Amino acid sequence: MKPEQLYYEDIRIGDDLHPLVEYPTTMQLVKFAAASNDYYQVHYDRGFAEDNGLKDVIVQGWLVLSFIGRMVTGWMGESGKLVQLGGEYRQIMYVNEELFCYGRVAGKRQESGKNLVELDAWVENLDGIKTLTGSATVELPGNYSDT
Amino acid sequence: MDHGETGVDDLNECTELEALIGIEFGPEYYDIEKGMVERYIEATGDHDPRWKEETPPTFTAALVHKEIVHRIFNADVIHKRTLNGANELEYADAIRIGDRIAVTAVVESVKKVQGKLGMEIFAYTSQTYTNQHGDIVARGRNTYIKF
Repeated sequence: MKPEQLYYEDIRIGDDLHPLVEYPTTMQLVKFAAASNDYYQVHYDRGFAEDNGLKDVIVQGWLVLSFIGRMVTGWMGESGKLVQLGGEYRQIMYVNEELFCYGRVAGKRQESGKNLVELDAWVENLDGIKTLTGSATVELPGNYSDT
Repeated sequence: MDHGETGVDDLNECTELEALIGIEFGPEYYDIEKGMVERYIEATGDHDPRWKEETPPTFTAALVHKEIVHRIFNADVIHKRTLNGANELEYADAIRIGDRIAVTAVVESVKKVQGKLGMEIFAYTSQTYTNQHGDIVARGRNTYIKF
């Protein structure tokens, strides 16, 4: 189902984005390694990961940030534009563990004729620990402006 | 860790990384092909129809500046393990299938931090993505953690 278009005037600080739950598997990590030209063994070679003090292979930070990107671009609608996206990886994220992605409207401003909405974004693991903290800024159409 | 394997035996030594600060590396070129984007979409699970013509939010992860990553990963410091600590992107325009993107990169700063795993080295880089028309389409910032 196509998401409805959001308009700047309808956004309230504190609005929550629809959360996303992801479960990265080894296959996904391998696909992402190839797609992102990142062949660091820590993402697909369990022996290498264990030799480096890890209990298993770990999820690429960029892959987790892409989950946030998908959540935000799905929320903003077809006429929205992603202006900024960022994340800090606070905790190792292991393969085959759920990741819960959240977003919330933190602010809105109009600048140089653009309707900008700022979002806090974060990811939690099964223990409720924040493994990624980040932000996004989107530009939304106005209710009465042409899109 | 066998300290005899490297000429560096000082946890605080990161001269080789510090010597990179301010040097612009590149450009390195990527031709944005349909198959490349399809593989990225498959890996991230983001099947939004808008990515049939433009690239999804974190696609610049695939436009790796190979030289600067090589220099950071292989720097002669006692910390041989490297992780991605953070990524941020600002978008000026979409990257589209058919574009030729030039990537340049700079090590902005290097910092020693007493972290959870002992003395860690943080290397901060910036990247610029320019299309074939000479337009900057995105800027990125990455944090690499050596520990």
